Amino acid sequence: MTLRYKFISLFLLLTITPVVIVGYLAYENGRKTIEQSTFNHLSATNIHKTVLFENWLKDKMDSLELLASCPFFTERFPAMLEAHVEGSVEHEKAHRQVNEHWQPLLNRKMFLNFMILRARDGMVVISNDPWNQGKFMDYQPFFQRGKEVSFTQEIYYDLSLQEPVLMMATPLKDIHGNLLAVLAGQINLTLLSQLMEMRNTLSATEDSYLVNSSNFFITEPRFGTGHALKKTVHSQGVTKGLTHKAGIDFYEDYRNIPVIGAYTWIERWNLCLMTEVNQSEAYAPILKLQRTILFIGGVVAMLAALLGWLFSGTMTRSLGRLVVATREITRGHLDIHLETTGNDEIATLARAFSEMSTRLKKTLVSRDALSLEVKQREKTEKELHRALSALKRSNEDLQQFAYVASHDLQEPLRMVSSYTQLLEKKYGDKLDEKGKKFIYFAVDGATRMQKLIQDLLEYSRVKTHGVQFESLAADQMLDAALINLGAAIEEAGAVVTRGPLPVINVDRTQIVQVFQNLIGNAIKFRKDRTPEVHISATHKDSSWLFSVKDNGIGISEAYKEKIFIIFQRLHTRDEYPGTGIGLAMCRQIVNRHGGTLWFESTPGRGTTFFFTLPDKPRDRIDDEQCET
Amino acid sequence: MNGRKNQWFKKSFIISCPVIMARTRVGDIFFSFLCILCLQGFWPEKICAADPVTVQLKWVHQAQFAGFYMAQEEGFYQDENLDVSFLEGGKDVFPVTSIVEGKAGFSVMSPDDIFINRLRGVPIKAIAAIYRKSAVVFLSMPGSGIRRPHDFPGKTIAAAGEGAGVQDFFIQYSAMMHQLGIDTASIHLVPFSMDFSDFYAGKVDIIPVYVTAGLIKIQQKGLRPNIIWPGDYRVRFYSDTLVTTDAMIATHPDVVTRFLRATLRGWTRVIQQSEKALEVTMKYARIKDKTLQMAMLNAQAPLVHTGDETIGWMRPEEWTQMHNILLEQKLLPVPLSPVSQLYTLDFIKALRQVGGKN
Repeated sequence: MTLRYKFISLFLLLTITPVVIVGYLAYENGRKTIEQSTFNHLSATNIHKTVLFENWLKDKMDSLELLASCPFFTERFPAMLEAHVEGSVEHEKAHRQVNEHWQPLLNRKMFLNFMILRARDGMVVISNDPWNQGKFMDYQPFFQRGKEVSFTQEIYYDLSLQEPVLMMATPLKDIHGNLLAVLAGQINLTLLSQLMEMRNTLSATEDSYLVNSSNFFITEPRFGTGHALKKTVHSQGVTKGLTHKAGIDFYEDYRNIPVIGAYTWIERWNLCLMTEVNQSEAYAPILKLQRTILFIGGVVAMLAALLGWLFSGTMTRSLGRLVVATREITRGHLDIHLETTGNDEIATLARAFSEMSTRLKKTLVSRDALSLEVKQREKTEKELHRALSALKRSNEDLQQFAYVASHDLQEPLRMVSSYTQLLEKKYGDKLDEKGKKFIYFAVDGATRMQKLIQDLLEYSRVKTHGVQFESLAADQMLDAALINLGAAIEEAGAVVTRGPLPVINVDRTQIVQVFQNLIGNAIKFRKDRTPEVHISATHKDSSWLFSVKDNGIGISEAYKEKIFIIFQRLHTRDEYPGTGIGLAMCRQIVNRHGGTLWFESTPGRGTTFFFTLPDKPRDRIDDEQCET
Repeated sequence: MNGRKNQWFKKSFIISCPVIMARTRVGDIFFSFLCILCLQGFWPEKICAADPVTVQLKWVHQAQFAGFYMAQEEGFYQDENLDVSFLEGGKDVFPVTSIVEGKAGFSVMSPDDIFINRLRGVPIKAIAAIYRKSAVVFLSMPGSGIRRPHDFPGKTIAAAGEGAGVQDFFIQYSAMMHQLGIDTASIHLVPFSMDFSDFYAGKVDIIPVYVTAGLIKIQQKGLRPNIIWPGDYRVRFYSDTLVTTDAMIATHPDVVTRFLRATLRGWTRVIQQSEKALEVTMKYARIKDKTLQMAMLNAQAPLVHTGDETIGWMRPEEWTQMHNILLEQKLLPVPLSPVSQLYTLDFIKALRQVGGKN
């Protein structure tokens, strides 16, 4: 289900649910109210009609009894009855007189017929309709019961009249109370139907009728003719009414139309009074309400769907653009533009997305540049590595050369020196002063060369013959150096002082060499002053900083680097002897230990040499590193 | 009813037995037991051969017998496991012959026919009264001044004749005259004619008709004749009664009960649903005239359903009264004693006890 349909469904759900609930409650309430009102009305109608019906019958019976009790019937009629012979003059006379008495009631249409039935055999002796005279009604309940009391017979179908008949009877007695006959009156049933049809509402379907205990219509229902005692009705309402109960029910009436009906059993007359109204009419207002609710529900649903559609539209459009943009990015098109107005989450998302694409683009550009740089660096590095390897090779060759040269040169040099000295010894007395001088120069030259070669050998050995580092007290190494310098110190009367010195991890021989060279220099390069040398050490940046301070001749700034170059001399051999290799070797050693060597000096006042050594034990530094 | 149930049980038991025999395990026996229950509950009753029943009608097929048609068409007979067929009556058909000869198990007859035949020693009995009031009336032309039997002397009446139906007319005519003590010497009795042409022509003053037939025909012509009902003059006869033989009652009381129950159900339905009654009647009726058949249904309703007791009900005193009338007018030469040999209330009483009012 797409987001749009989800939103529409959600809106519909949120709006229709309350409408349905409220509508249902309104409908139910309305229905109950109308039902109750219909129930009340139908029940009231039944009560009213029952009273009307009973009063109507009572009224008839009263009239009949009044007629029976009039002096004519009690006083004069008995004699007439005695002398009754049909067709006789007396009969005609009696007939006329009787007629005069009941004529007013006939005129008022309260009764259709009157009959006087002979008590003996139920024969009709006098009737306003002569046709009835001579009939025997002995089998009829209205005669049998009418001899004793006033009696109204249940409506029956008269075969000779071919219609339903309601008969009422009352005893006719003489003045002494002796039964003479039965006065019977046939009631106009049309009036009863009219009575049932009387309505106090404008209802188009309200229908009242009477049904007897055998389910036959007694009065004509509103929507039928010829039903009275001809047709039966077996509707649910009638069935219930005939169980001698009163109530209200929903059922299909005699026309099979759904009705609301009230049934009332009239015990005295063994009749059921039905009042019904079509459900369609009773529920018309409710149906109207139902239609209104449905209409409102429909409108609300449409509005909700429209709102859902619009709302989801705003979202799906933005999301759609994002989807398109994402696909573009997937295809590698980073030049996308998203509309990012608004403050909602989707606009924020769009902005973030836009930003992301921009950054992605930049990043990709940077990446390319970086990748290019990396390649270049790799290339440079390779070149560098090649150069380094070449340099290393060349350096190794050079060292090898220096070693070999210095080592192999010593032997011929010793021969030159030895044989020159031997020449002087054997033939010195034969040589003149000049010759002796030349020999001296040759020996001196050979000796110096030997010294130079030895120094060079030492220098080359710094790297090639270094030993494993070990932790040692700097004091010990300083002591060893001072012992080696003992003669020089003593000769110069130098004063060597020291500060506290640490324990360091070093190649002992080499560090002794460093101390020895630096202190030796400090004593050597002096003028008239008594040399004073001070050695100290301080801890700085994970290194020990050693200093060797003197009060010698000092070194000009111009020679700051020059003095560390091998065989470089600032003075003549006459001024200060030496080969000029000492400082170069010191720097080589310090470098090999991972430190640096430099000096600070004021010419004429003294020099301080500084060198650093790492405070932590470390593996021997690669020779290559030392070289750099 | 219980008898029938037992038959069912036996039948289904026999059917189920092989099922039980073929299986031995307890679960299977239980399953078989369930089968028996199912068979008993749902086995259609039609499987058992229906009892054939033939009904001899009093006259040709028409609405007069709507209750029988209704029972047939609505399956009430089938419900009672009866296979019912009808034999049409007619001018020359004597219903009593059909049941005595065994052509029919039941017959629709006039009560006077029962009296006469019983007197002759024919062993028949009424088991229910269908028309509980006589359908016979006498008609005179409006304005003829003949409105009561007292007016008959000196007039011509077409009430003579033999055969089922016509005989009723004469019996009721003479009984009525006898009841009223009217001398019939001056009354000109002529044979009854079906077409009423003499009546229309004024050659006959008074004709007997059935309210369910002749009266309707005449009323359909637009005439409103004067109606003289013998019941008003102490001649109160049942009209159509349902009759069977003593042998049938003795040997097949169950069939009689079932047939009567279904028939009375049919009649009750006819009274309740006149439209439906017309529909089923039209399937049988000789005269395919809906208006006529409907009029007949309407006319007979008050005779069948009098509003007094259940449909089909009979009273001993009414039989006695009929007996006395026939005796008085010498239609019965000697009394039939006891009168109760003419009818039996056993079946309608039994049905009322079981089913209540129709």
